Amino acid sequence: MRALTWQGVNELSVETVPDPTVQSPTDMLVRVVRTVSCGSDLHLLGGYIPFMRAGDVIGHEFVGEVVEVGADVRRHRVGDRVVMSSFIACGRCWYCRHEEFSLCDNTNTNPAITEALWGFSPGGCFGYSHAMGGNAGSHAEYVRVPMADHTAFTIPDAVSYERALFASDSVATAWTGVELGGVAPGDVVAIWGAGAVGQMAARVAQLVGAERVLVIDRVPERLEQVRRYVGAETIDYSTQHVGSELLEATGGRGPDVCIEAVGMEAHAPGPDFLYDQVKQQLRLQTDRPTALREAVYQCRKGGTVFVLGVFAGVVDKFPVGAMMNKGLTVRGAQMHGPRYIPRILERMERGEIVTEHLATHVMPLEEAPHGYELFKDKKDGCVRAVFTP
Amino acid sequence: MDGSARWTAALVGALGIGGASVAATRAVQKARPRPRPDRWHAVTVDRAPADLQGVAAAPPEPLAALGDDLEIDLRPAPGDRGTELRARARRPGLLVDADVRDALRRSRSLLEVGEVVQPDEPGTTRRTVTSLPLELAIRHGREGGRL
Repeated sequence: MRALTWQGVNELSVETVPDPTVQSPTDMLVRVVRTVSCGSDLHLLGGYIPFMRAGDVIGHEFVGEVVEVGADVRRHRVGDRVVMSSFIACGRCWYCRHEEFSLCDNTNTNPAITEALWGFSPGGCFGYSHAMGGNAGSHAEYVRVPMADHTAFTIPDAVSYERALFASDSVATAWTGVELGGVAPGDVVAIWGAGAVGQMAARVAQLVGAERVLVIDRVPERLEQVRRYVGAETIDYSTQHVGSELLEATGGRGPDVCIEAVGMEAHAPGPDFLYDQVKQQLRLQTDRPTALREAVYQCRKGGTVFVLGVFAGVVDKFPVGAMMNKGLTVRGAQMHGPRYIPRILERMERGEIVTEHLATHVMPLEEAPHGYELFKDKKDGCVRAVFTP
Repeated sequence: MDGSARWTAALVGALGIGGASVAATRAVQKARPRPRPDRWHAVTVDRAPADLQGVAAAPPEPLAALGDDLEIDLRPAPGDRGTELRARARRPGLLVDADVRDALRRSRSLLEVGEVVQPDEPGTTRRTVTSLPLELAIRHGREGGRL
């Protein structure tokens, strides 16, 4: 089959690779109908997550049709339209039983790598390096879905593939941040990053009752999407003073919940960005926490900062004094897909979550390297590049 | 940069990073007290102690494969956390710690889900000089990772 493979830093190519097979009675095979680029893929592409091997198939957010099921798969049949959680869940360990599915004890095939980095290992993910399980990714014609009963979800007839695609990761990530960040009715929520995850975090915050939602970015097309499709307020940090805008919007209190949806390759105007960039390139820190620092600084006393953007290692100048003295709660998580995907699909069916506008560029799989160029450089208004194998 | 120069640079870089990592790990390990040689290795299995009664006498295959040199102990985990499955060599030095860790992880998977999840076979990767350290890490991917 054809698949998009990582060949080296900033080097992708579509290659012919072996077809996947059902290896276990709990596996199933899915023919990929749509699969989408994600900002976190850019960390793999840029070499910031050094656990890739030449030939690895990337991609983790996808929908498709079931073409074969293992003998123990009970919830899916051949022909089902399904959306997969980007994190694979066994459904039977302590973490899965407590709906912390991305922390699954049994789905990362190389847990020692992340155990060395972080002390304990999260679960496995599709197409996201050998540190996260070494599972083949979704930018391919077919994907083997391990633990299919817990990892895949049937798409309601009334929900199109185009809409359901983003339930796989973007919306589920957003819901993880909003719920675990404790967003409550009446809250003012500030979100750094107007990509797909930031936009969906804004939408989910509205759905759970946030009073005001403000999204911070510098890319005009993305900010326009926030206003037009989500109905949230925006702050363009390249032309507006973020701190004063947030103070005015919150009566001088600061946002109750600050969600960082940017990650390790944050950009900012000013010398702090240059400082972070130099330190990262010299490998004196692995990640650039520019947006995270600002979220901690702007958050109200006693508020919550939630880290949704992907970070891999260590950062410099983390404002621990602000965190301690303001009594902040700082949390983070990869997304607990199986906890949220069923309710996301229900909301999609009711038209309360729309995602089609995020797919600004739709193209055949053979053009995926070009799609990633557009996506990485934010060219031509690209918010997400979607591939149709 | 021509092909051979690129390979040379990649090899030097990989060796440099690999060497620095090994040196840093050894420095960290040397500066700290070593784990007790008679310590228990443990995983917590999300099953009630009553469900695992037979495990000490008839352990899952990965632990059984370590033979009579292995000592196994089960105890209830606190709260709602299942059962602590512990293992160690009957005498220090009889078994390699990494093998015990690996067997415990695989056994937990077998007890909880009935299988050990595997990556796709055959894989799609090809061997490169720069990925050799990662290849080594993957080969030991289910063993102990803590520094």
